[in-house]
Amino acid sequence: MNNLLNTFDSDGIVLTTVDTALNWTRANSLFYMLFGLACCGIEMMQTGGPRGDLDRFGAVPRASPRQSDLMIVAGTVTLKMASRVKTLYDQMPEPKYVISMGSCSNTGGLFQPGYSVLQGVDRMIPVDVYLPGCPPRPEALTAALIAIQKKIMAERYLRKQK
Amino acid sequence: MDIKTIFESLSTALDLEISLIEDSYEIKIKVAPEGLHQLLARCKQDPELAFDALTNQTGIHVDESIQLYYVLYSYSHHHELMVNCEVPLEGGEAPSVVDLWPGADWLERETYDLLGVQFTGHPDLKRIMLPEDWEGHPLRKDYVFPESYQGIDNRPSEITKSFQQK
Repeated sequence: MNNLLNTFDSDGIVLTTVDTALNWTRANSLFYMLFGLACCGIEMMQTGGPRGDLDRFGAVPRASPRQSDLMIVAGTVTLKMASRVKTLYDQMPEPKYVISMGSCSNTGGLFQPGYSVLQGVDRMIPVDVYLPGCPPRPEALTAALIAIQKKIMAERYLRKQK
Repeated sequence: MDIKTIFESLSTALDLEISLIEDSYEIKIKVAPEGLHQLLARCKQDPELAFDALTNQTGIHVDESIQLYYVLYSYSHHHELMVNCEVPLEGGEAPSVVDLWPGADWLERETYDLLGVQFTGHPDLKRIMLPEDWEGHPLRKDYVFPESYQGIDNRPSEITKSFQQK
C-alpha cells in the first residue's frame, strides 16, 4: 500500500493476491443499513452527516436490508422488536457484519431491569463489534467501522467457502 | 370556576354518590364506576363546565384496587378537573368514554395494556404497546417479569447478576 503513496519511476506493476484485492474492495464499500432504534440512531445520523462523514470510508447508508452488508444496531432492542431484528438480519446477503452500537444494544444498558427489554442483541444475531457508550460519539462509531474493515481485510474470503 | 364550585354544581345536578378528596395532592372528585360515564358526560355537556378536552387518562395499582384518573380541561373556561374512580384489581371494569372524547381511545387501550382494566363499550380494546401475545399487565405491583418470550432466553447474564445487589 505504501507504494501507492510514492510515485513510480516508470509505469509499474503492483502484485497482490486475489484475496487482498477482493477484501480491499469489500472493506471500502460497506453499505450499512439504517437501523436507528433509539437515541443511538441520532448519533448514527451524525456520523453519516457532513461532520462525521462516514462516506469517506466508502460506507453508504441503505434503506433496505437486501442491499446492505453491515447492520448497525443503534438503540434499545425490545422483545417486541427482537424478532424483527432477526428477520432483517436474515434478509441481508452474505457476507454480512453487525455492529452492536451502545450499551442498550450490548447488554440492555440503562433499561436492563425493564420487563420488555432484550438483554443484548447478541441473543438474537451474531455480533462482530461491540461498541460501548451511551450513546457513543460519532468518532467511536467511525472507529467501530474501521474495526470491521480490519476484520474484512484479515479474512480469506475465497478460501473460506468449502 | 374552582373545583369546589364544580363539585357543588355536579352534586346538585346529578343523583350520584360523589365525594371530594382533599389529600396532599391535587383536589379530585371520586365517583363509583357505575356513575363515571354519567358524571363525565355531564362535565362535557353542561355549558357552565364545558370540559371539552380529556387531557389524560391513566391508572395506578394501589393495594387491592386500581385507581383510574381522568384529567379534564376546558378551553372555553380555562379550568381543570381531576376525576378519580376505583375499580377492583381482578375483573375491574369501567365504562369507556370514547363516545365523549375520541382521544380516550388510545389512552384507554394503554390502561388496559398495562393494568388490565376492561373498558366496556370501547370500539377496539386490544394491547397498544406490548405485543398481542404478551402475558400479564406490567404496571401491576404483583407482575412477574418474563424469563423468556417467543423462545428468546431473556434471563440476566452472569455478568449482570454480579452487578445486581444481593
